[in-house]
Amino acid sequence: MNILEIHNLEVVYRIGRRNVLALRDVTLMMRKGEIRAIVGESGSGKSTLAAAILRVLPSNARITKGKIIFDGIDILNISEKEMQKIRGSRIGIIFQDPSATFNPVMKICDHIAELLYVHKRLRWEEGIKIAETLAKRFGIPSERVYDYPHQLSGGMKQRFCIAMAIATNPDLIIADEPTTALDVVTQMQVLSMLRDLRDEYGTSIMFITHDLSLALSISDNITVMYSGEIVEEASTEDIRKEPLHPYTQMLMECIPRVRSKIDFRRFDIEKIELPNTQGCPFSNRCRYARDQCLKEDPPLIDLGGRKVRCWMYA
Amino acid sequence: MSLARYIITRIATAPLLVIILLTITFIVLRVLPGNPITVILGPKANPEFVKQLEHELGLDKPLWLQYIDFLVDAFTGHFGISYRWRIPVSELIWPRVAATVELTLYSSIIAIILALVIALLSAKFKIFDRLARFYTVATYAIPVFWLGLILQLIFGVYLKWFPTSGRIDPEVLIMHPLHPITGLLTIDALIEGNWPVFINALEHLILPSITLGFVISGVMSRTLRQAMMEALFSDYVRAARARGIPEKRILINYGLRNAIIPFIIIAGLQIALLLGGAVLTESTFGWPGLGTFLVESILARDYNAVQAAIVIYAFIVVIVNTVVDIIYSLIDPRVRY
Repeated sequence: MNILEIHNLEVVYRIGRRNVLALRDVTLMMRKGEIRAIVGESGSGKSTLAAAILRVLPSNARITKGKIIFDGIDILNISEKEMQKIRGSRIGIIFQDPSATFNPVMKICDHIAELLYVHKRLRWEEGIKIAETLAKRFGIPSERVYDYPHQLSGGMKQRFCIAMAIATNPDLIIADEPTTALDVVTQMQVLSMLRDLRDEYGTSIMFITHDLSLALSISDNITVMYSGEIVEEASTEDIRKEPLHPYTQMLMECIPRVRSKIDFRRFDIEKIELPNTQGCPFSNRCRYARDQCLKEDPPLIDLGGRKVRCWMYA
Repeated sequence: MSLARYIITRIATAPLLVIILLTITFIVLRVLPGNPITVILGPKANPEFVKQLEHELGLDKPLWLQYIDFLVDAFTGHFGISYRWRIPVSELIWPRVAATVELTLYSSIIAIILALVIALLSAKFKIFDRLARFYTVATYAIPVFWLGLILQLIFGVYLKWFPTSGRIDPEVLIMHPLHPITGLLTIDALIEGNWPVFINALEHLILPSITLGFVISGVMSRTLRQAMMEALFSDYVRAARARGIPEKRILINYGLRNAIIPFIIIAGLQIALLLGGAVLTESTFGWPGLGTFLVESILARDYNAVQAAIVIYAFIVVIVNTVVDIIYSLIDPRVRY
């Protein structure tokens, strides 16, 4: 049973007088209880994907094609009011910057109480009690819920973000780079929290990151995106063993290992170019690029159990 | 430090500010050309009379003693004898202060309500936002006295809905006597349940309050709208939308609650300005307030009265600023005390 199905999604940004494709033909199926990592660099469209699922795209963005089915609901075809009931209640979100999540003049407990009041019609005092319980569960003294956001450290704030995201017991959590603003130790805590959440409650998690090593350590399956397209999709094990797409291979090489030397010259700033507009978007950075790659964008090739968008496997 | 201690320090530093303002007033008045004795007795007065009057008014004392007398007078609220009326200035000035405070109170209420309505509507509807911009320009461009005169003409002369000048009709006060408690007629009347006086005083307040309220509502609504927009386009509002918080809640709890912080500072400054600068409105509506009192006293070279008025202005500005600071610290959790 799939919790989330995305079919041929296309999102266009209107920038000045130009239309820029942010997502192209994105098709993605997420099982219930799956942790799916979406990996890609800045501008690969991974955050746009998250915003599209919640229907909170910026005003200059349009969904031009495709379907998003969440738990059997076609969420692109329901009213704004119905969508509002899904956001925060059935789909939770955790953002990259925890200090941008909270209203600076509201106490943490009021954020959680408000959320529970809006979605579950719980009385305010009950919401505050739940906030205290959640804090304890995430290893924060319960009296800290009466603090204002600026009184908490970044790690605490991020834990409260997660607490808030799960307060309504959602079916799906979208974590948009939830650990990027945190130090390594807190990062690991947050990751294990997310895993526990899935193990205990069967919550599906979409884990968006630019860090393949994080994705490898938390997810069941990995989707690699480049320039608004899915370039590879496989189980975490398969990616770890054998990344197929040249871009995924490059990302793998970026992960530092003990006793391994990275040839940083390969990542020279001058060599990093914008995605190709004709042919395969990765062709101008690809070490295996052939004539065909420069002319035609490869389709997503199904290799039985895993998919890759590259002419090498055609 | 606790909030209580912050408030206490804030109040404790206020007198210092007042002393500085008083000193400047004292120096400026002594440095200015002109002499109260010549004004009272004329330029060709008998030197003996001049000496006698100088002694009576305490002007023969050394300057530092005069300064101390002046400070003591200021803090005890007893401002010497008015040269013009030959009675203590304090008896003259307190009813004037009460009149100005009352006018300011009602105009502030009108201005704040106008600002809130305009800012909320312009945050919600684009078309209204453009209209609001015209409104702000209008509040700047229209002279106060002109607006006052037009309102008097329409509502006082043609429609005869409201009186055009004064605080109250004397015959109402004679028929229904009122014991002053706060000095604010409407509030005293409310306390005593004296409805005829309350209604009559309110009728007198309406036109000048609308005039003044209109003038300051422009800046207030613009500040509030600007701050609202800033809040509504922030990351935490985006995050709130992504967790399904309804728009109405976002507008009030996220937009207004954050925007009210800069708004209170501007509103406080505007209100302090009103208390001191409503001279034109007070003259237009024959309002017996502090502004008209100061103008009359300067024209009559009644220096004790001028000093008293300036001292009271200084007090008012300091008090309003302190109150604004305290409110600010109460509503913005990020203010460190």
